[in-house]
Amino acid sequence: MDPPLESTPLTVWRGPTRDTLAARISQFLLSDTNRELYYIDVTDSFPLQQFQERAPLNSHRAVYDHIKIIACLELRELLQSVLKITRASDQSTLVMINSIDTMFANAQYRDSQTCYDVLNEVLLELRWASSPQFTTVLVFPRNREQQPLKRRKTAAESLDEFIGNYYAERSEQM
Amino acid sequence: MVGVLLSQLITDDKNLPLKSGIPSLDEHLNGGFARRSIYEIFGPPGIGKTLFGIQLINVNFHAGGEKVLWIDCNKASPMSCIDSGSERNVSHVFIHKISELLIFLQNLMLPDNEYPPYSLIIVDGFSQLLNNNLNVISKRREKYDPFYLHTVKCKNLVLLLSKMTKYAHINNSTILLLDDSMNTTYQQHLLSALDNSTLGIVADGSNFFVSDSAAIAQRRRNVHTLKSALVANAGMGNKDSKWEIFLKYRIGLFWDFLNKKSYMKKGSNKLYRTRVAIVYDLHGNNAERGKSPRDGETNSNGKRPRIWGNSTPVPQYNSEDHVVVPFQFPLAYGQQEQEQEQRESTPPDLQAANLQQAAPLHSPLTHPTVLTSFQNSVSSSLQLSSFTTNSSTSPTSASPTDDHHLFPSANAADDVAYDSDV
Repeated sequence: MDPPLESTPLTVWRGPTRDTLAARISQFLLSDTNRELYYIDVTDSFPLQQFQERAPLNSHRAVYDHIKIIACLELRELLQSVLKITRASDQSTLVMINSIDTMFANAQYRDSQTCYDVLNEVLLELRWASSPQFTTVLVFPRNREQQPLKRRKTAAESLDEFIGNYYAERSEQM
Repeated sequence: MVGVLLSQLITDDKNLPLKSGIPSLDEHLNGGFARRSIYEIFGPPGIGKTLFGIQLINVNFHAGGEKVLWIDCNKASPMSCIDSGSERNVSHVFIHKISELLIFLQNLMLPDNEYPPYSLIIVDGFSQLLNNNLNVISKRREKYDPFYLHTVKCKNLVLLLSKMTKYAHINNSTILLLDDSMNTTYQQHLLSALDNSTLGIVADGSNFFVSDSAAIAQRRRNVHTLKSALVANAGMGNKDSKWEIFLKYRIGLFWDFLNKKSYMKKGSNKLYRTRVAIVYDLHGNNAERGKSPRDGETNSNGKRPRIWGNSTPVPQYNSEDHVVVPFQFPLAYGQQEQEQEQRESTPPDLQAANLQQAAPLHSPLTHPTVLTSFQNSVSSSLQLSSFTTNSSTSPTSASPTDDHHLFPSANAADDVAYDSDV
């Protein structure tokens, strides 16, 4: 039995399939009508087909109104979106951020000096807003090689390990 | 409000996916080519990549006010093949440098630009653009440095695909990249890093074939691997996932061959051909959909499943990260009249004989990256090379009518079979 999402402020999921993602999302949204999901990704990757199998549109139309899709290509856009979400949310909220590693890489291309600060700012903002009513999940897709962070010369760790070690309460390999 | 409501995205007519005109392919793409997404289509010359793009326009933009942008990067595409109804919605532009494309994309996203929002952008020859750039960079450097070229390639692609993704999200567009394919076997030292370790180069002096140890275990012969020219080029390396994240699906268009003896005329060595689309799931999302029969799946007789006839659902042979969809184009545009004339001039008994020739396909695919395995490598390779030479003059010169004589069924996928004896 998976622990409820709202019990931890920030969780890292590594390598979930679309089915798993859809199952967790539907589990969260269908358990209470007053819940909303912000799904943030660099591409349009929401597992729609798998989610529709669990929550058909005809019978769960209200649930679909509680899912908001946001596209962010790099960390600064993510920071702006996170700030808006944390200030706007007034009900039980799950923020699911997919492919933050790609956003980080894009931010590195633009400005390699400040990208760590922006990453720190994003994650601290999410932790600051966390409560039983506000939960964050960072999803790292599978089959993608996580590049070691160059900043840490002694112990090279990938971004998911870095966030798992210093920001998240729980990391799950799926 | 922050973000877009999912209910709005799936119920708005403007968000409906674009149909490819190939039902079995649309099925595997979850209804077609999704909006706000980028797809890559690659394949050898003459397979019909440009025709595929034209068909996409003709099927989806015949009516309505949605606009299409066709970007030619290598050679002029046959715009005359676009239906007259769709033609007025299509804008055409030539771009020959990667920097031009980047600036053009930036201009498209300017607030008060002169361009309408395009619902579909097709970039024909995108890989050529990238490879030209890599070749120029390579010549500037004194020593060939694949690692440097790979880094440059990844950076360029991340930059370009980021812009495209942004445009696609703003304008609710679909972007299609039509790329070449390339043989990678000449770069032996990189092969093991790119693929699983079952592949090895056949030391026959030509470096054309790859031996697949997994396939050999199943009594298959040497194979020839083709990859997208975005992956297999002067800048090969192992960090392609950095830019592949922006692609929703990669679709390889290849030829498949019928060479089973029972379907051949006595004394004939002709190989019948059809097209297959291999849908690669770059993000591993198909992992739980099905298990490849080649991964050891057997039926009650201890043999791999043999699937025949129209009652069989597609896909017939798939793996964790790819699905193979046999297909054929409808008659090439402009060739309908010719086909009709042929039909009228053919005696009815010969037409019936042609229909009886329709036979289940034999799948020679043994690996996601494998184009074709050859039972008789020498004679088959001659067939392949002569065929591709003939058909490479124009994307539309490949004659789909050949396939029609073999496969009267509208959905060729219905006729696919596994052969446990190969």
